[in-house]
Amino acid sequence: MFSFLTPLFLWAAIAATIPLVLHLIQSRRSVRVPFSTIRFLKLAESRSSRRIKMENFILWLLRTLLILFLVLAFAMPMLRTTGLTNLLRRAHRDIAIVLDTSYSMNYRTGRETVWDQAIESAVAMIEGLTDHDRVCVFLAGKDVTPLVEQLSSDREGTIARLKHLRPAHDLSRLGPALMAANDALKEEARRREREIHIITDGQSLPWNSFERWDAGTLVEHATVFVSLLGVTNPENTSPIKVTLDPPVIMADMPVRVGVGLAGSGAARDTIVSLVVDGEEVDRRAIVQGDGADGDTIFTIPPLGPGVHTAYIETPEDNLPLDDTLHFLVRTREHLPALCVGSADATLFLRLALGAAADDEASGISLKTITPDALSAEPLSSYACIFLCDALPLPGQKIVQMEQYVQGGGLLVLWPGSGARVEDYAPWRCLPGTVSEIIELPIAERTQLLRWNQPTHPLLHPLRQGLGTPRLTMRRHLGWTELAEETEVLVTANAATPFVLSRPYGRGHVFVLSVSANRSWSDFPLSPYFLPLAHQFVQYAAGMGRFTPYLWTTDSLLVGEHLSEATTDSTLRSPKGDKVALRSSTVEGATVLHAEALFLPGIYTLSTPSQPDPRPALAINLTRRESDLTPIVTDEIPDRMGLDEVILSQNQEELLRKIEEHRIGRTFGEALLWLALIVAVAEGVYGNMLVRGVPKLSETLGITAAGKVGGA
Amino acid sequence: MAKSNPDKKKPEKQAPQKSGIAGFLTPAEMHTLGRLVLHSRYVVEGNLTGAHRSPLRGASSEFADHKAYAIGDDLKHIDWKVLGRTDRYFVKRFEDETNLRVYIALDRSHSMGYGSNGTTKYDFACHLAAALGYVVTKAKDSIGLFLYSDKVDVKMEARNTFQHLNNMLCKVQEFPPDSTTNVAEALHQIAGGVHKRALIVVISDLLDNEEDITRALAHFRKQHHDVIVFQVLDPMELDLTYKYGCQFEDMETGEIIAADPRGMQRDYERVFGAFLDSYREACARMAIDYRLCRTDQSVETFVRAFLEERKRLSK
Repeated sequence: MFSFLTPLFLWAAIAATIPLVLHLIQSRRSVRVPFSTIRFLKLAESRSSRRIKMENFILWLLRTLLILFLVLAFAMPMLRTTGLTNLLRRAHRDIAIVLDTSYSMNYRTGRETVWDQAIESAVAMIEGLTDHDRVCVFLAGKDVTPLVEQLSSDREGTIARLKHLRPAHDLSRLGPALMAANDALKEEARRREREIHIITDGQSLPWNSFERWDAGTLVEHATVFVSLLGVTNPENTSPIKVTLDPPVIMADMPVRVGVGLAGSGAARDTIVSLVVDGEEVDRRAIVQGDGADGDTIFTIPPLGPGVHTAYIETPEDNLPLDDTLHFLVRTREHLPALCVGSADATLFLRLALGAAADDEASGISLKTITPDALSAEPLSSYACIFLCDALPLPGQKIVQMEQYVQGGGLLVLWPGSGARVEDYAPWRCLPGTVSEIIELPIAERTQLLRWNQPTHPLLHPLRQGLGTPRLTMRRHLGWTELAEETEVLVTANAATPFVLSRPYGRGHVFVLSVSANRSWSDFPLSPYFLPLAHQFVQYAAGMGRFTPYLWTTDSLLVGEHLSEATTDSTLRSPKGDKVALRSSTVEGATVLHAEALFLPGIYTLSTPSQPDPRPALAINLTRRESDLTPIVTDEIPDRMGLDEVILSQNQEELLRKIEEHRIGRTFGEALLWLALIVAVAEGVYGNMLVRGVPKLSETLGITAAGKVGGA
Repeated sequence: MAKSNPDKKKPEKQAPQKSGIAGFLTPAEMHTLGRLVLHSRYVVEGNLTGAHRSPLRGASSEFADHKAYAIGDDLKHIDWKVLGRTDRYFVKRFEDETNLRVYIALDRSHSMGYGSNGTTKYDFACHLAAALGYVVTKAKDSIGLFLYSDKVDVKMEARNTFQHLNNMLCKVQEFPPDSTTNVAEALHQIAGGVHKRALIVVISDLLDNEEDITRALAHFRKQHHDVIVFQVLDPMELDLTYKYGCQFEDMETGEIIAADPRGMQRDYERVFGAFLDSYREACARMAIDYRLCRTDQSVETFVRAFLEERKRLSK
């Protein structure tokens, strides 16, 4: 149904009669011209009268249409796209707002951020509702958070809650939020006018979350509006990763810091600086291509032993939250290893690692204790723990050991004659179930070792120039039901597992089938014993029990990163606020969680034994939102599986399109284009009629001597 | 109510105040034209000895043929070499050379009074007649005049004096275009009045029945006259370049027709082109020299180009 925004202009339609009037006036003009003879005029007129009438008719039609199109364009006809009730403004609306809360919404566009624009748009939409209209709001973060879950007529309350919102520190997924909004609109079936408004920035990432969205479930009579706020081609640079080389950093050893940068927008130069312990160590200029990533390497001079805070910083841009990447550098003075067992059981191990302890370059520091003294030892301070015929152990100590392994420690278990088969049963971290202790007959005692996983970092150095590994084995552990992730690294006689490995938590458990002394085999006397013992310690140190940095999270398993933390420990955020540490029981074990680690920076930990807070965690905002690659707007309907999505770039356009959708669409612009086309057609046709006829005198080719045709 | 035609300009050039030759030709034009000669493409019969070939045998040095001697023939023309070879008497005969008699048939019908650019067709025709007459008289040939409309109004015999030419042009000035046209009938009358072979120059717009006019021209050719047809037309008649629709009034019949010239221009040119083609083709068939004259061109230039071309073709 049509109506006109400026119907006053319709009076100008009278002007459409002008061509007809002019034509009539011209045809009735009574100018009399004497002519030599009208004989040929009569003949010509009889031939061309029909054509002239048709030409005149076409010209009249084009000129009349031109005037009519101009008049209609200025009158601005509107096509009413909704029903009569909408026309009378009596239709009640239900709108669901999906608000992108990712931290990329903090992108600054001049004085305000995209988030500010989003809130303003949402508020403007809600303010445009009438008394019987209802609204619900869902926040699209990593998960869907309902701000106003049920459709509500409380506009003031909703606006107030919106204005107090802040963007989250994580990514956003629009698909689940759209599903929640769609479900909310389904509750009232009588409503005829429903709208889902997705307010986001132009980033492509949130649109990758529609895998579970079924467009067929879209509520009836619903229209989806998408507001892509912000700038069309945002620029952002942020450090996204840091790698430390070597992974095990000893004191007085330089460290290479590899930095990865993510970039969005046009090519530009970026200054990257590295700050360690509050002092700028280095500064680099990096040329980033158009939207390309960049990498650079810094070198940190030798640091003293301990944990050092550091961060990579890029110049402040329009998204300053991700300009800094905090990390920790842990340097060790030595590689501490703990050997638990009797003097006899640990003799060869002490000799093997004690020899290394004299070598300052290896840095191995071995401490030997008896199993009774195990409870007093801070296990987390050791890179590797050897249990040499130390079983059986009390359950509490077993739990401590397992926590140690879960937190990234390496446990090497050497069996011994002191333990029975059932003493291995309480251990949940072992590579399998010990079924028996097998005594070998004399004829079978000579065993040939075979490397089943020769590329394993533990075994790789042992393959060089040591001859055929052969040993005499009197007894060994018998295994059944190996754990799924267990690897048999070395076998004896290609059948008996000799060295077994199982990852457990963030650590590893290695079990050998023979004892660490000569009671079970002569392996301690073999040339493989000493390098294998060294490899255990080195492997443990480089296993990554220490994490340089973490991403913001709502829950962190503390034991995996801070093995020394207990329920009595205090974890503080960069602002000094205390972070709650909650303990829970998982599969019979007590685990510690830190919750709501959303503030980027260095978190400190203090324990009763070490009351001084020390750097414990480096938390950074997840960098997936740093990639501000814009979404291609044409792809949005396809990603949502919808035929029509109404897109807008700013608040004004959004409100105008809502108005157009509800009331109608003006055809003024289209009519102006039509008028232009008709004007061009009239000009071309008119010129064609005038220019189309060559003059007879030119056609005849009369020469200066009067000869016709030039002949 | 009739209004004045906006496309038709008032004649800038008024009728010549001077009479006779001076009314049409300037001294400079006469100087230029005096060097030119109008040649006949065929033999003509004149009264005087001249530069043109005659159908008669005469006293020129140009051998024509032999004839058997008869009593009364001059003995000095006996070909003695032939007598020696054949023992028969033959008399040598020579071609005669005579002067050219040119008759100008000038149309003074009402349609000749049309002119869109200040010069009427009749003005142009008179100017052309004066130029040709001057060329003919200057060459010691004779010039005569037939002034006609629906009949022959004025007839002046051919003479070769400038006085005669002057009188002839004075007579032309006395008769402005008037009366209806009947070109064919008038041309038949002229053909009946010229007995000896002559050069007939027809100056007319030929806006009459083309078949009748063609038959009249054929009458000339039947009498062995050399004929030149100058069809004088106004550019507006050729191209019909009126911009606005108006009522056209026939200058001879007074009939009126309302028409849109711009819309009908294509068909008009087609019809008028066919009309011109009919004359051109008929004249080509009858070996008549047909020329189309536009009134917006210079008479002097036209005459000079025409005569030089004709001279070239006569050789």
